[in-house]
Amino acid sequence: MSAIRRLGGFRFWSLIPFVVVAAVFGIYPFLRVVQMAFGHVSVRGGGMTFEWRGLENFHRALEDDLFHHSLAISGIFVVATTVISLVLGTALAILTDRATKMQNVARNVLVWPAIIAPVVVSVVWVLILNPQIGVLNQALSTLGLPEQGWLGDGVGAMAAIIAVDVWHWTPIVYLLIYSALKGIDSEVLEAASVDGANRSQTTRHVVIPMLLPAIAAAAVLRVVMGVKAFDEMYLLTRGGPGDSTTIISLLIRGIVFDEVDLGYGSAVSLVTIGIVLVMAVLIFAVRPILRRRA
Amino acid sequence: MKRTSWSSETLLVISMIIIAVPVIWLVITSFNAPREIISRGFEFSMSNYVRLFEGDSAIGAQIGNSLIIAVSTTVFTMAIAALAGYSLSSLGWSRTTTGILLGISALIQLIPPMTLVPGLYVVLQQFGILNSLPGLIILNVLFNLPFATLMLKVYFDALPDSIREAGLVDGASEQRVFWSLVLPLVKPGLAAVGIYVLIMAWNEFLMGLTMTTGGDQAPITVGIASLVQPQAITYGPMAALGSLTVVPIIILAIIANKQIVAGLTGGAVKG
Amino acid sequence: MGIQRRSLFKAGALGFGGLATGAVLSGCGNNEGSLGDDSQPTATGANGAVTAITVATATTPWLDGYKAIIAEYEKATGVKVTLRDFPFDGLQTQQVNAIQQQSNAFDVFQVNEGWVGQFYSQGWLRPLKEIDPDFAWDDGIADFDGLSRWDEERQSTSPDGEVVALPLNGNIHVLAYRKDIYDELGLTPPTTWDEAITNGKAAMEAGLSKYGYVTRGQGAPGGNSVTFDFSCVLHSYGAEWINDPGTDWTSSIATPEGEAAMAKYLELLEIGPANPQTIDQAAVIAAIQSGDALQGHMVVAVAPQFEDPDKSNVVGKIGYAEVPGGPKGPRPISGAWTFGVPTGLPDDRSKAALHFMQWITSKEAQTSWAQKGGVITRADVLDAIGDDQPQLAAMRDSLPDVHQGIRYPFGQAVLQSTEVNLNKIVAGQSGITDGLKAISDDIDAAVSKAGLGK
Repeated sequence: MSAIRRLGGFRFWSLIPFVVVAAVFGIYPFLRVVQMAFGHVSVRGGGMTFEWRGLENFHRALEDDLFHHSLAISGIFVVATTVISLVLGTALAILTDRATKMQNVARNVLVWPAIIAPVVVSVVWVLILNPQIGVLNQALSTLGLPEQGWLGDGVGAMAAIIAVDVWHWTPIVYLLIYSALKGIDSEVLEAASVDGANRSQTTRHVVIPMLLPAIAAAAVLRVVMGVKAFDEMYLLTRGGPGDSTTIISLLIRGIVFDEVDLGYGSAVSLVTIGIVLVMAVLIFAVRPILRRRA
Repeated sequence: MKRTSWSSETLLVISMIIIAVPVIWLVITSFNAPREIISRGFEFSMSNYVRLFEGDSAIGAQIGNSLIIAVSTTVFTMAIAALAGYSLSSLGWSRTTTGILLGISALIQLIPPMTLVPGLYVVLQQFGILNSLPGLIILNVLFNLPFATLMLKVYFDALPDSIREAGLVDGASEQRVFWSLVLPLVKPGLAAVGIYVLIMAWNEFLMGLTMTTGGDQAPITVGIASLVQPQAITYGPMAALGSLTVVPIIILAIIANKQIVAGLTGGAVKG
Repeated sequence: MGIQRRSLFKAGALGFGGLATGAVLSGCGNNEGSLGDDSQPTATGANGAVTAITVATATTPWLDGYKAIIAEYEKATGVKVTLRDFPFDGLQTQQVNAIQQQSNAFDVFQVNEGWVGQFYSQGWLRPLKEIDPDFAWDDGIADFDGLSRWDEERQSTSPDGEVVALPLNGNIHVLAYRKDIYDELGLTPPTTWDEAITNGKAAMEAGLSKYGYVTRGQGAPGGNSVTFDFSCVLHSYGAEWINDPGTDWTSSIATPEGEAAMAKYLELLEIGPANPQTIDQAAVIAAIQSGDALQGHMVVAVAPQFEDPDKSNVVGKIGYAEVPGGPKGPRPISGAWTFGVPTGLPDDRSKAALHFMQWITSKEAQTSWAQKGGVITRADVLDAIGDDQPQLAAMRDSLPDVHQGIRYPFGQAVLQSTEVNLNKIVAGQSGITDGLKAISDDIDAAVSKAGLGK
């Protein structure tokens, strides 16, 4: 009897801090966002009033060109950064695994960007991409090539923030894949080489299929990170030039803080969260299939 | 016996250069005179660093704030996450309960933090911890807790049930089993996840920007962003402050490389 | 049907209150914005007078000067002032948060020209006469085209409006030019855009300057970059974003005057750095500091950066003048800062805040600030200091011509369009006529959405 009571006691209180933090600081603010999304919140001198407006904000989101543009931009950003960092991360992991001399150094250096504050990453890249003082244009002019605007035109700026994000977060993919690689049973690989497969054949037909679950996990992570990306772009392009790099989190920031339209900002947030959820579910649905094939 | 593949080694070296050069350039720029930065020249100068700490600069206080936030966040997150992770892993919660809680964790991970800012502001104010370090610490705990819990649960899952059962049979209480028997076994996991949380908290920017009243109340990331001014050129001080925050963390990464690798990867791969 | 946000919170909080948080939450029942004040240094002395205030500000080039003047205020009055500085748009966020939650985190708000429409029209600042019935506008303070006064009926700043703020930093456009090169070529500072272009080309041909003129072409989302610098040319041709706020809400930028102004602006950019669409304020400053550019128009506050030998190659070589003009004469744009008292602040704190603001804008304080190179806001002090500080002398000469920036309640929507479309014109991605038409259409849409106009 007393053993059961003891168990019940610890069983509950071990979970309570987690539940309290998640509920009070996670779920409650989230419910506020849900509530605000269905109304018009105005901040006039003397505080904040909420007025029920039903689905109005969602209708507005359906018709808002800037939101659609921003979704498209985010879509491109998320797909490009996810795919490129998956390819590069996997390649780097395989290279590191093959390497003998450089293995230890590589495992160290290749992690650097992932541990640098996003704010600092933007500083790092301003010093590279800035058309006037950046090292990239300095290099071009030294080589006698024409200098570029980089962050100055829409396509260039988009390419630049994708490159920065890839630089920043490929190391995460690299680490995930690398540790999955370490987990592969070496007997499998030996068996393959006994069967006469050369190294690139082994990689293509044995190693990569076995890495697919890890790659899928990394993909989910990268998609979520892509949607949440904020700090670097906030300081690097502010969504510009024009609105060519206004990814969704920058759009929401503008609506909430520049236009102070909390109702609409919340609705846009909810729609975004919904899209992310659907995508995450889709990727997870594909995962078991990949695993079975592996 | 592995043979050395020179093409692999070369490609790796090139990759490392691409990864490292931007960081090295940051440090070089930080030692360049402001006058030369805009003229594309170089002249060794400490003036960017001197400028940072001139007058009643808030930088020192901000670095202090960031240290307090990072360390406290790590301690609280690890304590809460270890308890919750163990509870969900080993104490016989139903699949529904576990599923709901893990679902909430995943949801918190998915939400762009930007969207929660107005709601969080209200909550912090009601608790009287707006504009305070405890407020920032709680928010950092909130955003790191789901991941830490999921990760630690994976570590606890890997332990055989027989360890806990043996402890209980010997007459130890659940608390005692957790504290003295189980926790020491997941030390590598605690170290890995702890370092990860430490880095995330040190790097946090958005909450520091919106939930403090700035100046010497803010973390260092906000101090860096404050240098980006519409009406002044501050590339030099930006580089200097960037270097100041990056170099310690890279040194940490070199020392604790193994833990960081595990912290960044452990759970997701097994899961 | 308006529900108070606070009561909604209480309902929500009760729901979670059962979860071991009762003890913490129990403190929240009856607060009226007082809990958030715990960390505030605001305090009252024994006689009930406020002895400490918290002032919000942005990290700007003039922050150090502001600190020095505040130190003088503390010395003179014994009131402790806590100055909180934020990144430029972080300041807006902070102040919006504070007013939204009525947290009374700050006793004094600082409002940028670009936020004026929003802050004034939403009633976030308390009219100064409400705080002190005896408040009277001090005529020595420059008006900056009605910057501190809001006319509720016209939904616009106006010289007849109610005083809701005082100007804190009189940042307006001036022309910065290379005295040494102008002397060498025997030229005088330009009074028209055409002269500026001619002089610029002359300096380039003589091999004395890499760029003849430098000004912004970058579009900054949520900002006021190319719009601000272009406005200086636009208004000098007689075109207006909004013709007469309050009476005529139509735009006159898609007109021959607007197009002529745009064409002239492109000519200016042509003798500047390549890729003009990337030129932001920092690039403009850098082009002057490095010695590459002959001249350009920019806000007064950047001037000290040209005189710092650590940062600049052109120390002692820069002269200042009123900006060049078009057919309607020169039109320097106001990019000033005001400060005001947030709505909802208790009376004693509001009075203390107003006292602080009046002290900072007093003749004595402004004279002291001017001697330290501050971009002050009193016309009488500017008149008195003469030509000792060339940038302030240029500012003094410009005051009668100052034109307001974008101060409409829907200013954000206008800027969203102008920054994008002007940037496209500058980059050559759209023609002058099409680009200006797009802006004009967007302005019409913003006006009608705001329920103004007809």
